Amino acid sequence: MLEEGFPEQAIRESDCSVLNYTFDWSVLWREPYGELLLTGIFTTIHLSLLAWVLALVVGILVGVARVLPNHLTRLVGFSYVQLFRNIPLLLQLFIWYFVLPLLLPRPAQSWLYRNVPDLPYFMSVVGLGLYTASRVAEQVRAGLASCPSGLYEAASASGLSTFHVYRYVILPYALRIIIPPFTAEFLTCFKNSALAMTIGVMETTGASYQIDSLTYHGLETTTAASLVYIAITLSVVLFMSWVERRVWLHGMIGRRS
Amino acid sequence: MVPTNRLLWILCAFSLLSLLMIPAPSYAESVLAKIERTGQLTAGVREDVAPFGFYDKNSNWVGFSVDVAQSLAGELSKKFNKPIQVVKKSVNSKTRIPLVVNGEIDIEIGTTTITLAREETIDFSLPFFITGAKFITHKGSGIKEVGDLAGKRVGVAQGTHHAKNIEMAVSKGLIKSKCEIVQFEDHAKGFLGLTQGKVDAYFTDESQLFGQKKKAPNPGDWVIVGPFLSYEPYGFILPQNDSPWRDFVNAFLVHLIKSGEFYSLYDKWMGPKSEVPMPMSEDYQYYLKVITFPE
Repeated sequence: MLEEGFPEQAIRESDCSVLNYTFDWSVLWREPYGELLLTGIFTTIHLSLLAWVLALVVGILVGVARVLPNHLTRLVGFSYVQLFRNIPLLLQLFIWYFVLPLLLPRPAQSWLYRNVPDLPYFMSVVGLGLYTASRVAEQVRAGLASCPSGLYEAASASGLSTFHVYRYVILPYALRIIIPPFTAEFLTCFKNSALAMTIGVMETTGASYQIDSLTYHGLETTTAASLVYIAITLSVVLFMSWVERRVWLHGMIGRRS
Repeated sequence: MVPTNRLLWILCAFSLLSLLMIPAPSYAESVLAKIERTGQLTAGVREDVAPFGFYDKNSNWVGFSVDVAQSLAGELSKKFNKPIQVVKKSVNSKTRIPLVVNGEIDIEIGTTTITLAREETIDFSLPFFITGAKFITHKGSGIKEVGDLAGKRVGVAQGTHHAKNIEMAVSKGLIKSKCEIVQFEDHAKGFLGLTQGKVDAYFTDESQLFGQKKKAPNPGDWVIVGPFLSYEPYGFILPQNDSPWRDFVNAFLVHLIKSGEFYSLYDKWMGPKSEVPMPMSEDYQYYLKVITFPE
């Protein structure tokens, strides 16, 4: 963008400006950086998967709790979702790792630091999992709300207990409906795992920053990290569309895509 | 499935294309010519590393680096016979190189260790400060020397070489068994982890340890354990292949040492009466004499 009165010489120079930077892609596999990046990628994958399993279990329980005909469970579910959904994940991770352990008595703290191997990793799984659970819970609630009330009535009328109504009739129906938004949450879970870097977990982003600061080839490492996330999330998309086809029931979710 | 697939491929292609557009242009003009044209010296300075660049009690951005930048601007004013203003920009260990590469700052005056790998991307001035990494630990931790760290948990900051330095000390037999290395995002979080007992000791450049110790509620509770386990010569970061500018900065540094102004700045910020006293090691004193090149 040229402004009026911009010195002519400077314009000429900016026209023939060159990038004063030499690309060196070998930092991605060269000793010892390759191992660092690879470990980072595996950390991203198992950290996110563990967090996602935790999110599914807690999220489905909380989501169901929010629609049960019981004031107490509804209140608990509501509070859970509002608490975990409304604090930035970055702060939640800081709180899990730096603040919550302080509430324990001093000996318990030292026990925790001494005996839990890789505490930052553990706290990231818990923090990311419980945060994602609040979002999963909302999707589950939406799925449950979309079940026609006739379904609840018919199931109850056939003599099933509340637990069995949910276990055998409502949840199998609702969970299928919410597979597409679930996919989105699953992807977000992978991308949010990058924040674990802030409490010292060397996952993909952390590893790419580390290589950057050791070699100053940040363009290469950030490009590589971006491609890794794209590859992971595309695999998740393919996996989830397979799941969607696998659990498809005739006449349920529109046409088979 | 077919339309979704095609869409995915198009998205991939776009994300790759956008990556190619990242590179920021830099002017072919020497930094010296730019400073003369604009009348401004843009210097990258830390704001979290006492005594190099930090906020004092009155929230003024001060430090050794700030004074060096002022002095450099004075030298530039003499050269161009017109007043040159210092424009300070805040940098950290992640941004300092990219900002020099893309021309946002003319020079970084901070706490950057000169390494050969870094030299491939940018240029450095002559070293102006020499330090090395040591451990800091609580005085009651029972750690009196490097060997006591065997099997202990040691904190390091991301983006540093220090994890490797500890491994080297272990392989050399200075530390008898492996330490558990705990990474922290930065020194502030690392020191927080140390005060909370998450790690038994924290490992980084001694110059940074002095600053962190100073900030602790009871500085006397913390002891720094040597000897140096790494060699950290600090240099100013300069743009790659700008020889006139690099020569000017190096001449400025040599004159600063020869005139004695360097020593008075050192005394002001790191001398015995300063807030963060850092005695000059013998090697460092000798080095400063070595670079007093003749005119």
